[in-house]
Amino acid sequence: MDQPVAQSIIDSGLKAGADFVELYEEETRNAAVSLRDHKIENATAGIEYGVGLRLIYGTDVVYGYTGNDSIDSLEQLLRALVAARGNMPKSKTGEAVTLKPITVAPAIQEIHLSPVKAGQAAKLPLLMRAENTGYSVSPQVAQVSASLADSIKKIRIANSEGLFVADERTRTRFSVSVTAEKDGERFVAGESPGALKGFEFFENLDIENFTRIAAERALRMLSAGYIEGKKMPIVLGNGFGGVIFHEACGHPLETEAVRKKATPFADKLGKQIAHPAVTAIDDGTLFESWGSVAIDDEGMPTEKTTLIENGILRNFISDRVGALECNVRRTGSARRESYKYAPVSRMRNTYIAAGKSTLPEMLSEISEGLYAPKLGGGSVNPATGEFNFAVEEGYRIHNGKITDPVRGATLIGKGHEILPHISMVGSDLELTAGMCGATSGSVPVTVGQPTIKVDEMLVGGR
Amino acid sequence: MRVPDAMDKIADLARAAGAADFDIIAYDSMSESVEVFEGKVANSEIQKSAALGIRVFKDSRPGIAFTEKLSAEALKTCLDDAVSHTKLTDRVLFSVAENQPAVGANFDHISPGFDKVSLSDLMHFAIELEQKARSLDSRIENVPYTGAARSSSTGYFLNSRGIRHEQRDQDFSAYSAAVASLGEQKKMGFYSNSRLSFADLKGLDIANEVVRRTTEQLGAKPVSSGHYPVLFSNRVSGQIISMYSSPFFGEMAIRGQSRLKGRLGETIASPVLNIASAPHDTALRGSRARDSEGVPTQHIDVVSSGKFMQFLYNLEAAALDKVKTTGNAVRSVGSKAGTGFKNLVVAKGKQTAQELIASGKILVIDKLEGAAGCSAISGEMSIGAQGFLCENGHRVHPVDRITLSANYFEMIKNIEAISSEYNEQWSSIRVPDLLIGGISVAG
Repeated sequence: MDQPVAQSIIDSGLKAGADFVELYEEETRNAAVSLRDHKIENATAGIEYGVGLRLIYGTDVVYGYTGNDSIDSLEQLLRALVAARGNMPKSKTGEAVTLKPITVAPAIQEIHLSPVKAGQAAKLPLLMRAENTGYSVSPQVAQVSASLADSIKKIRIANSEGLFVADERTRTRFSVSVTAEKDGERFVAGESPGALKGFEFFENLDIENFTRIAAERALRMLSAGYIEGKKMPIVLGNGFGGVIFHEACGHPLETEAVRKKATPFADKLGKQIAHPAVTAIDDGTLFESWGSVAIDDEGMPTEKTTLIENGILRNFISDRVGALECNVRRTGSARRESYKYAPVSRMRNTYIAAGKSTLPEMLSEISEGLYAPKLGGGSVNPATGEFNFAVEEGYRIHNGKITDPVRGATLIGKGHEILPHISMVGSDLELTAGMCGATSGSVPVTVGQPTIKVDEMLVGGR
Repeated sequence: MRVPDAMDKIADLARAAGAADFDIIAYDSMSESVEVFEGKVANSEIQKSAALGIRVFKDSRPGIAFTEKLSAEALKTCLDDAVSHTKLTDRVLFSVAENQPAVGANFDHISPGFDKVSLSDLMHFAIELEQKARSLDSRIENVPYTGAARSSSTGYFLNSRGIRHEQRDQDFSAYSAAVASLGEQKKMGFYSNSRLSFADLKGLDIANEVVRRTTEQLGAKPVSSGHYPVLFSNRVSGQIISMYSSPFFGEMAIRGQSRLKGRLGETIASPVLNIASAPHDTALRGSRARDSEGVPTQHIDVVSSGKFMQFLYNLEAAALDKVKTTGNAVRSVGSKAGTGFKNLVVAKGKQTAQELIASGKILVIDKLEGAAGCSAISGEMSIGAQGFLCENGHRVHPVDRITLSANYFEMIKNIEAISSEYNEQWSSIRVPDLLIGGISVAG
C-alpha cells in the first residue's frame, strides 16, 4: 500500500460521506518450533497479510478487509463498505486531506538479533535445555513439552487526519509444560514468559529456571488435597494473580464496555471504587514489555494510564470511537489481533501498583484462608462483573502460616465487589505475559500485581 | 491468484523441490456481519480472506508452512519454509493419505438464497431483534450485544497421491445478550444460533429466548455446600462431553495423556452412555466425506453401552499404534494435524428432562463459567455454574456463585439417565441432558 493508493482510497471514502477513513496494512511473519517426548514435534512458519479499511460515520463503524493491496481491490472494498452504510446518515463535508510523509513509530524495543536471521534451527538447542532440565527434576516427571515462537508484525496506518505511520513489532515467547505422574494421577504445570524483543530474549532467558519452576509446581500439586468450599480471606500471589484484576476490573474499564453500558463502572469516574490501598495502571510504554506498543493500532502514541488512584477511578481505557461515545480522552489503547479486526479499546500492561505490605504481614491476619501463588485461567462477565478463576497452585493458610497444598479450588466473585476488599498490597510487583481475547481478537498483554490480600472471597472446592 | 490455482502452483513447486510427498489444505471465506446497539448499527463488517498451508515430507521428515499471500513469490517462500523445516523435525512413520474412495454423498452445507440476503437485510433483522428483546420485559435494562451475520467458506484439500477434495459451508447466524436487574442484582443472559437458511433463522424466537435466559436468573443465590444430584441441561452437556473428548484420541494415549490408555474393551462409563463420531449425519454441522488429511471419514462408536470401543486416530497416531486411521484428523493451515470428533453425538435416552427431574431435589445446571479448572488429562473438574435448584420437578430458586467439583472419569460412571432431547443448535455436537447421581457443590 503506497502513499498514492492510500491517499486515493481516503479521498474516495471522504467523498462518500465518511467522517473518518483509515487504512491499516499488516504483514506478519510467525514462526515456531516445538518439542515433545524427546522429539522436535513441529516446525512451522507463515505469512499473514491484509489491509483493513475503516469508515466512521459519527461513531458508527463500517469495517472490511482484503488480502489484496491493489487499488482495484481496495476501491472494490470501499464501494462495498459505502453500500453497507446504505441510506443511513452521512457527513456532508467530504473535504480531502493530504497525507503527511510516512513516519516511523518511536522505538520501544531494540532488536539485537532478528528471529528470521537467527533461523528456526537455532531454537533446537534451547528446546533441548528445557527438556533436559524438566526430566532431571524428578523421576515423577512424565513429560516435558516446550516451544519457542516469534512474530514480526509490520504495519502501516494512514488516515483522513493526514496520519501515515509505520511500525514494526517483534515478539518472542517461550512456553514450557511439565506433566508429573504418581500412582496414575497426573498434574500439568507450565510457564510462558514473553517479551517485545528479538531472538536475544531466548538466548538470555533462564530456560532452566522457568522449566524447574513448572516441574516443581506440577510435583507439589500432584500430591495436593482439596479445600472445602466457603467464603474466606485470600492471599493472591504476585504476577499472574493480576489476571483477576485484568478480567474482572480491566475489561469493564474499557470504553468498549462503557459505550454499551455493559459495566458496573460506567458512571463511576472520579468516585471511590476500590480500597484506598489500590492504585491500578495500564501502561503501553514499558520498554520491551510483552504488552507494550509504541503506537496503538489507530496510530496514536501509547501512554501510561492511571486507571485507579488510591481507590478512585481516574480514567477509562479508550480508543477513538470509545472516546467519542463516552466523552473521555483517547489513551492510545486501540488494539486488534490483526487486519481481520477493527480496533477497539484494549488493555496493554495492566497492573496493581506496588504497596508496602509483606507476605508475613498479610498472613498474620488470617486464621483460616487460601494462599494462591499461581492462578489458572478463568472467565468473567463484564456487564455484571461476575468472575470465576481456577487456582493452579494453592495452599491452605492456618493460623498465619502457609500449610498444605490444595488443588481444584476456584475463586468466585464480582470484580466491583472485590475491589473494596483488597486491604493489603505488597511491594513485590511482577508482570506476566499472556494473551487476551475480546472483540478485536487475541492481543498480547501483561497482567501483574504485587502479592495482595483480599479480606473475603468465595472459594469453590470439594 | 485463486485458491485452487495457488494450490496447483505450490504443488508444482513441491514436486520440483523433490518432496517425496505433500498435502495442501486451503480455504477461502467471506462473511458480512452487523452489530446493533440502541436501535442503530454500531458496526458493520465485510470480510474476505484466503490462506493455504502445505505439509511436505522429505526423508520421512515433515515440514509445515502457510501463507495468506497467494502471489507466486509468497508461495515460493512458503514452500521453501516447509522444506527447510524438514531438516529440523524428527523422522515419522507416516506419510500422506492414499487415494481411497470416500462416501459418495454431498456434504456441502449450502444456504438457499445465500446471495440474495443483503447486509441491509441483516441490519433490519438485528435491529428488530434488539427492539423486541428490549420490549419484552420491563426488567431488561440493557441489550448491549446484538448482531447477525452470513458467512460462506470453501475448504480445499489436495495431496501428492491424487486426492483432490473440496467442501462448502454456509450459514446465517444471530446473537443477543441482555442485562436485567432486580435490586442490586444484575444478570446477563446470552443466546446465539445459526441456520442454513435466513428464513429459518428468522423463525427462531431469539428475543424471547435471550430475555427468558436473562430474567429467569434474577434472584439467584448459592445453594448450601454439599453433594447434589445434578442434571446438566442440553445447553451445557455438550460442553462437558467435548471438554473431555481428548482422552478418546489415540495420540493422547500415545503421549501418556489419556487415562483411557490400555482400557479398550473395558466398561468405563454408565451403561446408558453411547458416544459416537458421526461424520455422515447430514443434519449436523460437522458432516464430512474426508478428514483434513484427505482420509475418508467413517462412523465410529467410541463408547457403546458404557464400554470403550475405539480410539480416534489421525495418520500419525495410527502409524505409531500400528492401526488404520479412523479419519479423524483436524488441522488448520499452519498447524500440525491433531484429532477430533467428526460430529460428537451422545445417543438419546427415553425420558424427557422434565421427567428426569420429576422426583427429589436436583440441581439443574444450564450455564458453565470457564473451563480453567478442568483438565482432560487428570479428569479434574472444578467449574463455576449457574442453574436452578429443583424439587420434585419444580424450580425452587435460581442458583449462582457455585462451583461443581468432580472427576470426569468417575462422573461418567455415575450417569443415571440421559434425556430424549437435544438442544436446537446447528452444531457438530449433539448431547442430551445428562443426569449425574451426585456431584460435590460448593456454594
